[in-house]
Amino acid sequence: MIIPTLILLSLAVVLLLYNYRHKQHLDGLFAGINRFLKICPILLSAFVLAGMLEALIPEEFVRQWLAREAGITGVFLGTLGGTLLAMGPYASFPIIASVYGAGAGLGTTIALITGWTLLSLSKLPYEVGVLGIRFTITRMLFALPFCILCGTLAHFIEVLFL
Amino acid sequence: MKSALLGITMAAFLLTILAQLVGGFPLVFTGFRLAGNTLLEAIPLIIAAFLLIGQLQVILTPDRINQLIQKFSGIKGILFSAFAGGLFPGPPYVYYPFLSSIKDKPIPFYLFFSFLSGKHVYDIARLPMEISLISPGIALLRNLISLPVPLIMGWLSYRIISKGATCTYFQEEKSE
Repeated sequence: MIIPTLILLSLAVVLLLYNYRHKQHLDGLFAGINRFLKICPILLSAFVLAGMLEALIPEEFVRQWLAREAGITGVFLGTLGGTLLAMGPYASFPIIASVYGAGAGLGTTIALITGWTLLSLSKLPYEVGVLGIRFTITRMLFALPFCILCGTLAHFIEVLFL
Repeated sequence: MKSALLGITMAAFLLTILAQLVGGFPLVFTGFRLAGNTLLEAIPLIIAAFLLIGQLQVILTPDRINQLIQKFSGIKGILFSAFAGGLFPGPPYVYYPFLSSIKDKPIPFYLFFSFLSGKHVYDIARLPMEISLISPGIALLRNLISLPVPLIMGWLSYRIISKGATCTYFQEEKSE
């Protein structure tokens, strides 16, 4: 975790210096702190939820339905799971991490993330409200095969190379 | 935001009760221990992520992205709007109102398609969270695998559905 932290910190410092030249660095700093404080309670609850999930999900279930051995079934289940994860990233990512930590295959995990990013039900009310049901359904129909494709690709990468 | 917090807190509470019923206090303790360990491991990265997100938010204003998106069309437009989507800051309650503000302008719908897919797949503001909360390796692999997705989705919608259609094409149904 040290290397990614350093990379993110370096990027933050570069942008802070850029914003400093435009006298907006403090705005950025406050925006970041403000957002962190707003998200903190959700993040804490999400970590508890993810911890409980990890403790509760039986290893046998993960092995049978979600692990590498589950193959393409795991990819389909991952896509479905991602669609049903109707929460923001702060809540969803710890849950996805706990599923992966419990032994889910790479294909399932990638399908979970891709399903969540492209199909998640949490964005649906906004999209239907703003762009209409026809636009939303068309976009989702276009997106569905890609979630399965990404998961399948990740599954084969895991089987062949990892 | 409040309903999201309420929902997730309720879910965490229900799972804690379920853990108590299934495995008693030791299982509840294991759940909290796992949560605490993950949180402690991720906290420096989360702080760094929010420092970055704040600075990004100042640079990438909706106005700046709106100006750029209207300059491009065709394949160049698909490329641009997908990456603009990825750079666009904020959660759904920020970017959907933005789309709502430009949907009546003469912008082809496939740009909306690629913008939304770009936002969903690339979202640069979410990337630090993905790295810190899941894992750098999985985040890298997921981003590499899904990199062409918004571009292909935009291109397919450009080829399959009428090229010149704007967003009103999808809203005709509403008025029927």
